[in-house]
Amino acid sequence: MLKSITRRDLLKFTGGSIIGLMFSPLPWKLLDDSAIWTQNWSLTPKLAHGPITSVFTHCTLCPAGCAMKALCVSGMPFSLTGVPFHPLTHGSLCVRGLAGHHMAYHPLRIVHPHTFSGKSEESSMSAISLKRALDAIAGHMKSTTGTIAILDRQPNRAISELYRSFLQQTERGLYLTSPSREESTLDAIKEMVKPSPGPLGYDFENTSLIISFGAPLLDGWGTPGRMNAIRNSQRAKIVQIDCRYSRTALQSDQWIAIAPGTERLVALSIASVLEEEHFIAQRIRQSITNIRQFSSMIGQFSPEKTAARTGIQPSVLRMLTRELASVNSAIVLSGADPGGGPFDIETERTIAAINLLLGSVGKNGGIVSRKNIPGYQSEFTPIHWSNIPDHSIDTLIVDGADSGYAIPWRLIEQKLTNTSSMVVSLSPVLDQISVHSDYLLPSPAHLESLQDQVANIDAKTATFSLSIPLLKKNENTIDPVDVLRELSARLNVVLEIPTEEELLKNKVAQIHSGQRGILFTYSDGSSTSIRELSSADDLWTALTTGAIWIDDEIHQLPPRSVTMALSAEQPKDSKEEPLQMIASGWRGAVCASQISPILSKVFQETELRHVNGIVSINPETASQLGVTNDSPMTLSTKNGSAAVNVKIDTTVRPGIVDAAIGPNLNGTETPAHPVGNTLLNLCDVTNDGTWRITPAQILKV
Amino acid sequence: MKPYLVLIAGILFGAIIGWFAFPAILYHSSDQPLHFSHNTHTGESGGMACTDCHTTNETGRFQGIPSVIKCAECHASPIGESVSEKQLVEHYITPNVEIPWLVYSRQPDNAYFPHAAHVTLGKMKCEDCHGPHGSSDTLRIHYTNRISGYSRDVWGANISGFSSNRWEGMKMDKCVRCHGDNNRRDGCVSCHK
Amino acid sequence: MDTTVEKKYKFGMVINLDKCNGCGACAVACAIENNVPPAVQKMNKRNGLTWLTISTVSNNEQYPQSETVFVPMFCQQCEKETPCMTVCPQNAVDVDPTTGIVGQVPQRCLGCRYCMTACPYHARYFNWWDPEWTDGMKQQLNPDVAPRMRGVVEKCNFCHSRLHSAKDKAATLGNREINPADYIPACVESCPNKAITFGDLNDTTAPITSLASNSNSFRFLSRLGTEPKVYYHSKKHWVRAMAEKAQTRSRQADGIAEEEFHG
Repeated sequence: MLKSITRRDLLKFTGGSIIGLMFSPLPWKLLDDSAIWTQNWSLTPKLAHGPITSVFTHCTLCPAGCAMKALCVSGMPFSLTGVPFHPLTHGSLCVRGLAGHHMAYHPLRIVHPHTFSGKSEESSMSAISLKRALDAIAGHMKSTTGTIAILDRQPNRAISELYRSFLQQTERGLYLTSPSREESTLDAIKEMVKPSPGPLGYDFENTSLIISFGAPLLDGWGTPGRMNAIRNSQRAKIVQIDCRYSRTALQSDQWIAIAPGTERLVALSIASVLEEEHFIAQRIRQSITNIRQFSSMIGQFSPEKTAARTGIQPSVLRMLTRELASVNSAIVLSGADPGGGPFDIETERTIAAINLLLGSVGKNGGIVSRKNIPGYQSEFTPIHWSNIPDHSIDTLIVDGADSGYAIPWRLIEQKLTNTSSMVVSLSPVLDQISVHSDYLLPSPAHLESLQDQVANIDAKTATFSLSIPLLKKNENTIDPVDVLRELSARLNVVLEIPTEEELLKNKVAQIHSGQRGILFTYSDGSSTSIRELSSADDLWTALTTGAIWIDDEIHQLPPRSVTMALSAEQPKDSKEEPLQMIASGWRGAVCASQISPILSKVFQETELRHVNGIVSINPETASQLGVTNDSPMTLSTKNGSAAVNVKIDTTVRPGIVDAAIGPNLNGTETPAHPVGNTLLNLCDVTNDGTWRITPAQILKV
Repeated sequence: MKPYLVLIAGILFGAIIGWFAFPAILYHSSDQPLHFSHNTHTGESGGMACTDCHTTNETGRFQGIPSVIKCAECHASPIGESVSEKQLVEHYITPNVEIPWLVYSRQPDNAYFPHAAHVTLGKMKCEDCHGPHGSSDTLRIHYTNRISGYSRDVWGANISGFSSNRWEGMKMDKCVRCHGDNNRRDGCVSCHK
Repeated sequence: MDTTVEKKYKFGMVINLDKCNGCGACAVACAIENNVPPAVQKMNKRNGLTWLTISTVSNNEQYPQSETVFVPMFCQQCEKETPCMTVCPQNAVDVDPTTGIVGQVPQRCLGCRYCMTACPYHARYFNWWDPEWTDGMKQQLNPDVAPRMRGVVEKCNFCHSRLHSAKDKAATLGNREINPADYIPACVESCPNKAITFGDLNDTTAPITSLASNSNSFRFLSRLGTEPKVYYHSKKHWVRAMAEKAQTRSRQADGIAEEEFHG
């Protein structure tokens, strides 16, 4: 039979089959399905299905600790928003907080202990077991007798207290905080008054005038929602004294443009006008122990004498001072640019002194005292980085929490002993410090562990809230509490270390027994007195389901005795440098691992914020240098040089190179440009622990 | 052999492939992870309504297949003798693991179907789209389209796309026809997300 | 069957530029809400995906008289002769007759980019690359917005998924009209300075209606007659004067070349 099948038959059969198929749904269904397939291919992710729930928690990305409402699908957060009507945040979240749920899944996340064989070489990073890493760290601590330091950039938490106790027990411990802090003016005030006023905060709500020396007040400072609310209420006039047309200068009621690095002179001039025009009240004069010495010293800094260097018309400063003296209450504060670093201690003291001369300290609408949180140690005075001897730290443990402010590695490096030092990072990500560490023991990421958020940094009363984990903790990470416990055991340090939950439950119990303050509940926006809660467990339940404890305001008392510890020395004149580089950054966005990759929407896909390597100069400076807009150049300082992209910007002061030390975004880190390798590395870290101004050159590539 | 016979055989062969073999190859069949009888729950012994389990949340969002928490309200421990109930309690309710149900009516991610608008405002019945599903004793085999990844119910059980029952097939043309019949004025994004 | 004709809304926005400090919260909240992926390495301001972009505009005076204003720019929801809709060969763009929202169905788009050329505001974006999220971030996508594939155009639709939710909520209560408080786009919700007012321009009692007709309010390129529904507001004269000049940034002027997209 097969023999009789011809080639012609086969062709006929095939042709028939095709006709038959045409009369079947196959071709049309295939067309339809393949069209759908192109919409559905595996490169486009599928959406999650499941019940939608909402959870309240608090942000831990910086010390502000803003309240958040998370929407979750099947328990996974997909959207974060502020909590409406929140008494401190006013329902706002900053850009970084909005995308905080991405942080645990950041491309630079580290989920296993690592060791770095060659220093500052990202490529030589290798995984290590936790036990071996801890043994090596403890072994190093035992084998040397040098200083053991812990750098804690959110220093008010329960774990911070454990760090301090641990360091005390080792008898050679040194507790470090971020060199730039929002509280720096407050620290300087505490230093100058007696008796100690205890913890301080700002009463912005009742003030009439806020003078800010370079603080990014309206651009991620303190609790951002609060600062925006203050500005929008327009009850207080905001004056920004800054050499840069910063986001705060742009929004302030008055911007006073000064020559870079002359903040101390400007502050001294304000103080001199207060003295010269008899604005200092008799009561305050009497409280100042060294008033004579101060009066004779301050005369040499009158606005007329400093005008040449500060670049401000004397009449402008006199007008401002008169306004300052005439208003009911005023606050003068200093602030570090998150990239540009802190002021030197003399500038801080001078700015603090203006508040004391005005009587703003211990007064409603000024700088106010608040109580300690029951159960927490009284506030400590952090050591200023300029007071740490060079080459003195042998072992440095860097906690994973972040202040948002940059720290140049150069600053840390010069404090480490030359040969044998060991740096241990507890960071959950590869960041500007952890890339330089010897051991990296990653702690759980943002929203992966239970944490306390203590006292919104700028708040006028104490507050307490809990950050509830929304994400499943990665099992290879280690809580800092557990690191401390393991090290204590290996070093024979006698220290009782509870688990994080026990630690916090204990704090909550003490807050409850303190019987002070109110509880603001997020779900219904209600406030209840703490006295109405029958047990500490009730308070714990309330705090874990979305609430904040807010302490009562206390009766303010002005300080009894003030010492004006101001130096009469004329500051150095750095004007002769033709080009001065100042680093500028944005709180919490100095390094790629600090922000969600989605922040490319403000850094990379728009130029709303500048990524690392963009420097802005005035058109005048540009024409002197012969530089055109958007041109690739080399920025060179005595610390090295880097490829930069020059932008011409009329808002930049002539002679200034405004160097952005933002992140290297989305996979642009390479072995040549590892994480955190930014223009910050070109900054000069001076003996006073600052890196505000660096002489620089812009050269053709 | 007669020449036209070969051609007819070819046409028949093609048609058989297209009508019968193709659907068999196109769909991948899988059983549900657990035996479940709607009838036990909605019938005389159970007496429950569809909306007792298939609820909307406080913001009006239809929650689809209920989570095991809902099952646990009655079945925290077995109340009957059946093997599948025992499995439900042991494997899902006690360890609080969601049952990986295969959804017959899962639409693509870019389709948006509001249940409240159709049921509460449009006065449609569950059966109008889902068929007499609530009185079934067993769960049907779930067929997945190997190319598009969708459930067979979106196209309809009949490969031709024609169906005698109103609830069969859930393609866009069906939505459009009904909306047109009811003089709805919609934009694309009214039903796409 | 109920055949009631729906209420006709005309959703619009007024952005107070004097309140905007360019923090970028709106742009980030928008991207998270609408499942817009983060940038891949090659992306820049010309080929990125920013449903909402923020331009920095200077008054070009010398320091320290120089001033800057931040202009959030996104689909202006043109009411008349909607340019993108009229050119689309695929019917992938339409103006919703009941809301006035210009909708885009990316799954229908064939990627010809006529609409991008037609848009006077450069508010449409093309997916030059496949979306890339890390594995964990993929699980954190908004379940109410479908992610887009490579090769299609996408744009702002006033967070249409939130209108769906608001309608859903109203329908559960048996209402056809939404509660205005339930429909707030992500950018409006996230703005820490409350610079954006959103609402129904047909509602004479809504705050947006009086704000839009304020003499300090203006629309960009209103001379084209497309009747955009997004208004801007500023007390500064130089900012208002900017509205009728050429747009804030022209892709052509940036010297953009086709190779740059592919390279």
